[in-house]
Amino acid sequence: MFQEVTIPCGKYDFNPETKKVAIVKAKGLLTLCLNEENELQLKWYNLDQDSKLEIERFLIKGFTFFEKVKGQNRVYLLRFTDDDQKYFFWMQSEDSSLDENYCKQFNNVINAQVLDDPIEIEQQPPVQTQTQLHSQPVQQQMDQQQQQLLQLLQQQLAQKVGPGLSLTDLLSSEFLTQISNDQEYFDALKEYLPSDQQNLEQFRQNLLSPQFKQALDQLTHALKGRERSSVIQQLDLDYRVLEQEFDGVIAFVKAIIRKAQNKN
Amino acid sequence: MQEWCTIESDPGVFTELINAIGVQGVQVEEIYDLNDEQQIAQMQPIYGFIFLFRWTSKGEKRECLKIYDQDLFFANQVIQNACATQAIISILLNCPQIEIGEALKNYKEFVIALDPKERGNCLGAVDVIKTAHNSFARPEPFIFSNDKKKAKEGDDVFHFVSYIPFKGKVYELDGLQEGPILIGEYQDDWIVRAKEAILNRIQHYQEKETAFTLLAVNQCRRFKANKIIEQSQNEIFLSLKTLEFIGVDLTEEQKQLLLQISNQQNIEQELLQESQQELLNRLTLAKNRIQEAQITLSEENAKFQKYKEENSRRKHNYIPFILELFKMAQRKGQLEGLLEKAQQKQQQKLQQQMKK
Repeated sequence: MFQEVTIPCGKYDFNPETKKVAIVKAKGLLTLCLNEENELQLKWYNLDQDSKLEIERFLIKGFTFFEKVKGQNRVYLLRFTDDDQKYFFWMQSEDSSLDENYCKQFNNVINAQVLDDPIEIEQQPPVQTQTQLHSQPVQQQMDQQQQQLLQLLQQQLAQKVGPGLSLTDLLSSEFLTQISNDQEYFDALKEYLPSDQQNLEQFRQNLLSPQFKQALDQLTHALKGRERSSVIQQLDLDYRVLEQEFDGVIAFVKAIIRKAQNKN
Repeated sequence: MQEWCTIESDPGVFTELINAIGVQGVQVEEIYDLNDEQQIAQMQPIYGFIFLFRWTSKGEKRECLKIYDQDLFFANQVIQNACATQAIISILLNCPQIEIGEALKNYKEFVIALDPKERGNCLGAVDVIKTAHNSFARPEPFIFSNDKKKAKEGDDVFHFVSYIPFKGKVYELDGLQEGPILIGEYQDDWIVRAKEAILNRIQHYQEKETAFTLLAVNQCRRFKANKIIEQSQNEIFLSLKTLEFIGVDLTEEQKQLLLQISNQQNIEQELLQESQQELLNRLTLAKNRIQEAQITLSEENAKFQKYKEENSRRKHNYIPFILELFKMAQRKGQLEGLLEKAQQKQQQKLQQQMKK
């Protein structure tokens, strides 16, 4: 059994040199299909160019989000938690009330994919309802949209400049030195030290050891990798923080804060 | 069948590994300067060298011996992750003066009639060795859906080559070549001969800016120190006994010492044929040697204690510790501050970079 959805929509092109998002003024068709091999295949055809296939990609449930862009008119974003690539689409069906339904169908097809690991990924976040309809002429509308989209994209890019934070950035040597003398920290962490090293002096040495630093680097790497959602879940934390926070390390911290807040 | 894991190339790891498979009195040490004669002398007896370097390409084929001494043990490297362990074993199995233990003795007997490839294969079947090797694997705290790849990107893949003396000749044993490579003959000191070949390699890799390390497989220094102490005590015993015999009055201290040592000595030994002065000199020298040996012993004990701690940390899964640390920081209200500080620092760095 396979599932499929076809959406009439146009696309935007992102120019990495000028860093501008440009609307592609062409009629298009987006298809998403869950095939017999349990693969999610995405395709976008340019109908004004003889149905030329211009986007083709495999998606993975749990790492893919398709949602309406807030404050924009009929613009939808396809984004990934394990990849920087973004695709913006603008709905083209005559009846704009069908947009929400198309989006739902799209997400349903994604969720129909069967994942091997027993971790169940919840439904996609609920689709935003349209706020107001713009009463301006279409051309002006598109220019305005373009401006806002550009801003949005630039914002997201700005966050991505640089390699992001690592766990060793958070646990500065200053902080580690401070807690290595802290009785409360020692009492809380003692049982998690190697079994033959559960004393205050060894606590200090462990915090400064290359093996500890290596473990931090290993965890940082895992939190930034393809399977970060799975990693966060295996740490018994809420993976949904990844929907708002792209950086796996920051997501990890926020998940811990969230967990503590939920307890209270 | 369980796979062989990657282990860290560290002398502490290798030393404990050797001991775990039943070898006695042997350790592995890193050599920083092959020309440092004093350091080399202190490490003697050295049973072999291991040269390890970062593996980049297939590597050139070298001229190997097709026919060689039947007693020279050579095996091909078949298991990638076992390359270090195999390089060490190739030294141990070519050294009759080392007590190699049951596991290695059995392996050698079993494979002596097989060809080098088969020998390499069979190494994988020796459970004691594989278990000991794998006990040094880094903990894998997460389950990933693509678990088949063991060597991740960023992992260093090293290749190991051994140098040994064997019946008057120095050989290079490279598990990826077809047979042993003859380096040359030697008279008294094999290290002089091996040095040339090794220094050539070092120069080659320094030019290519490839990372490398040189290790020695040598007699355990504690073992050696204990032997020296034993021998020296024996000498003191004999010297004192002879002094007594030739009628010299022993001091109280000497009498005590004689009593002490004679309680440890069981064997009747012949007295020394020396003059009083010679005997007293002998006494002094022996005492000095004991002192030096005891210093070595305490240094080595400290070193092995450190190895033990490091190995314990290597095998430890720190994830629960890290998680609890962050949770504690949250409880103490420090976590958000840490995040802010780190982000600020990063911002500053970026701004500085953009100014350039």
